[in-house]
Amino acid sequence: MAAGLNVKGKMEITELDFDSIKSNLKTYLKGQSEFTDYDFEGSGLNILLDTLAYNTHYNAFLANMLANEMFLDTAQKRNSVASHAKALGYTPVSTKAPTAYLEVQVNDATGANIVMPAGYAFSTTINGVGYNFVNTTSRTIQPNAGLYVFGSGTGIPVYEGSWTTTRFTVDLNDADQRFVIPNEGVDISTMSVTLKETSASTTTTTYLAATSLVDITATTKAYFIQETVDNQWEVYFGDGVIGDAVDEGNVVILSYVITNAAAANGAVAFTASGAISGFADITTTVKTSAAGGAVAETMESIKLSAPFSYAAQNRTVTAKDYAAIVPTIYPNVESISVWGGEYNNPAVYGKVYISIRPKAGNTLTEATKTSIITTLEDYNVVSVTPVILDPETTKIIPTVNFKYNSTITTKTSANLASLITAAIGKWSDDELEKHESVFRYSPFTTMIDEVDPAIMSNITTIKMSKTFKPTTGTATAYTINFENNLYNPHSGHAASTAGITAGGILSSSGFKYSDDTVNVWYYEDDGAGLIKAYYVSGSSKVYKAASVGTVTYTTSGVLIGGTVTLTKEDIASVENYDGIAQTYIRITVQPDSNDIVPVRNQILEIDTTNLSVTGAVDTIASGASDAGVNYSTVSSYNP
Amino acid sequence: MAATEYNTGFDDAQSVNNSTRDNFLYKDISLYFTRNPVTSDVSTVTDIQDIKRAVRHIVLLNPGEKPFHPEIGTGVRAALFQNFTAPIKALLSSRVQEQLRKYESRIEVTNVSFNDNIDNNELTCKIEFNVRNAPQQTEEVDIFLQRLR
Repeated sequence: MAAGLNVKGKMEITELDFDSIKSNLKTYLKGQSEFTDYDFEGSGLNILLDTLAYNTHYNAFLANMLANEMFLDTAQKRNSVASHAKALGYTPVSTKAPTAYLEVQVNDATGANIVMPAGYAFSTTINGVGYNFVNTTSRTIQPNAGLYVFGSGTGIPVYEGSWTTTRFTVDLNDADQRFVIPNEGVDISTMSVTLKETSASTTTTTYLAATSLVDITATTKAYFIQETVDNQWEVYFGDGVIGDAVDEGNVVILSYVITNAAAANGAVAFTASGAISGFADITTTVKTSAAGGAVAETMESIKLSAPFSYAAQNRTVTAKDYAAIVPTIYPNVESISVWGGEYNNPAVYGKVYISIRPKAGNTLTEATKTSIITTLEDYNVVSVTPVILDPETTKIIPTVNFKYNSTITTKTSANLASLITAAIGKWSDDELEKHESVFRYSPFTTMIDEVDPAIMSNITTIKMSKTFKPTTGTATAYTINFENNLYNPHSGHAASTAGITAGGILSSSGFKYSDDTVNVWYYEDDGAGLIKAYYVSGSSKVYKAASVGTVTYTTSGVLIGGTVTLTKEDIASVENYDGIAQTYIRITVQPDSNDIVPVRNQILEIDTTNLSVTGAVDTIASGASDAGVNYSTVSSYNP
Repeated sequence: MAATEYNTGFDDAQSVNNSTRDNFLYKDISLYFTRNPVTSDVSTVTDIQDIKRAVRHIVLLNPGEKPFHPEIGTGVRAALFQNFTAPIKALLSSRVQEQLRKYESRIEVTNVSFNDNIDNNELTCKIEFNVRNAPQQTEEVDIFLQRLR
């Protein structure tokens, strides 16, 4: 079969690149005798082939681009993706400015009232770089008990960036006039749109962002916003039927914050930049430190979110609807998990639980949670209450024993162990630490084998731990849910009382009871569902007379596997562990399955502090003389 | 004209001279797109003339002019407005030889020379080669590079 021809001897026309097209044309010319020189680069026919192939390639590329850009799934250009999203009624999330809440007291103020204008700035520094946070609305206050305080209590929101104003004069004769914000990095949630009748007018009318067509009449002062080309935003107005229309000579004033996105997240100290109403003795108190700054939604995210948003129709009904809408309200979401109250433990009807892990930090501030829930009220079904829970981290503690072939590497056992430790840390970052990211044992051990060619095999055992913060000095009940069944092959398993090793499959960090602040106590289980507390005296354990709680190993009926319940523990203090001062008690257990599943707001993470990696030379692979006789192995079960 | 110096066939790439040494006849379209007075079809060039045309095309090509193949072309035309020095001559000469060796396998280049006629703002490139099918006969292509205005 000649090159360039398909099995039926026809010309291949699926090629897109220049050389393949030209090669096909040459193959075609082989079938004729009129011209023979097409194969020589200098021939006239070859030059014509160049032209033909170039033209074909050009058209093929154009057709390919057109076809690609016509569909949301295949579009490569942001402009196309934003346009497709628009057809689905989805507005991409703009860049978000970090927001801090400040209480601002003007100490030397006098008079009936003072005014903080829009654009008034506060400065802060992060990593040696200065940032400005601005107030976005004009605020007027009167003294309260002689004190002039802006944002008394919760604080006023200030946004990182520069406060910028763009003006347009409406020219109805210009059919191409568009109100495009000529900047990237605009946080559109901070935008204020006002209109003056003429440039000479002294009064302005404020227009509000339209989020849907419901409630918009011919006179509603509303503006619409869309992402247009080159990551810029365009404001447009109604036509006099849907929303108030603008008239000739009107002046459109757009004011907004241009932000550095996430750079100033975490700012905690602010200084007022100048006098307020002429008074310069200003004290700034941070109520909520800066958070929530994020870059504009990526193309991949738009491709994912736009169809979800369309399916949700701006309503949160199912759990997936919440997962689609929350990131549009609060873009700083690293991962999100949503479940209905009926799936909660215990079931709570009429509530929907949302667990959010933010991109920066581990938990959301209370102000952010309240803000998200308030915004969700516009979407969610009446009578359903959203509740935002912090993620709960369950740590996985692997104990890795590996064998390596010392003849094919110059690395020592310790070198290999540190490589494995680093790889496990990376694996935790990449594969875990998100909602619904399952710890899968076999890929984990395979990953360890692949860290270095010298590693022959590994035996890895798994434990998991959670912590709880005791209310010191008060008898309190605690429940710790591992949400995964625990290892208990038979009643009384490992109910060891010999030595000082904790019995059963449960152990804990140390603590002291309020009625015994001398001895350090620990927990263990008896393999039969009871938790006992003990302290170590010499080389033996001294138990508390009665059991202090229960452990449910396996899900059975209403009992959920992996639940540890402590009844009325009056704890005075917590012992340190991991080399640092602690306020939490850590409970460590052995799971029934090596695969560990995060449930609801649970997030799995590998405990790299307590991770143990030990290497030994593989005597058989290394060719030791006694290898076939004295090869030793490590137990595959937890000690 | 240099034709007298060698035992040459024809020295003009635009004249017809068919070799009788081979049954295979090289045949190419003429890029002058003139009409064949007999058949009224587009005119063709054949054999030695065909090869000379090909040589001419390669020499006059600047790198980057052939789509997606910037490696083809001598850059002789691009040398316009360069200082006409010995290194430039040597560079162009070796570039022409290299390009013809790579992309015109029907010939074997024996010499490439550049003669300048500064008073006329003119550069002559003379390429002498044997056609592999008729190795005993030296062919020659003269290319004049001249400012048009």
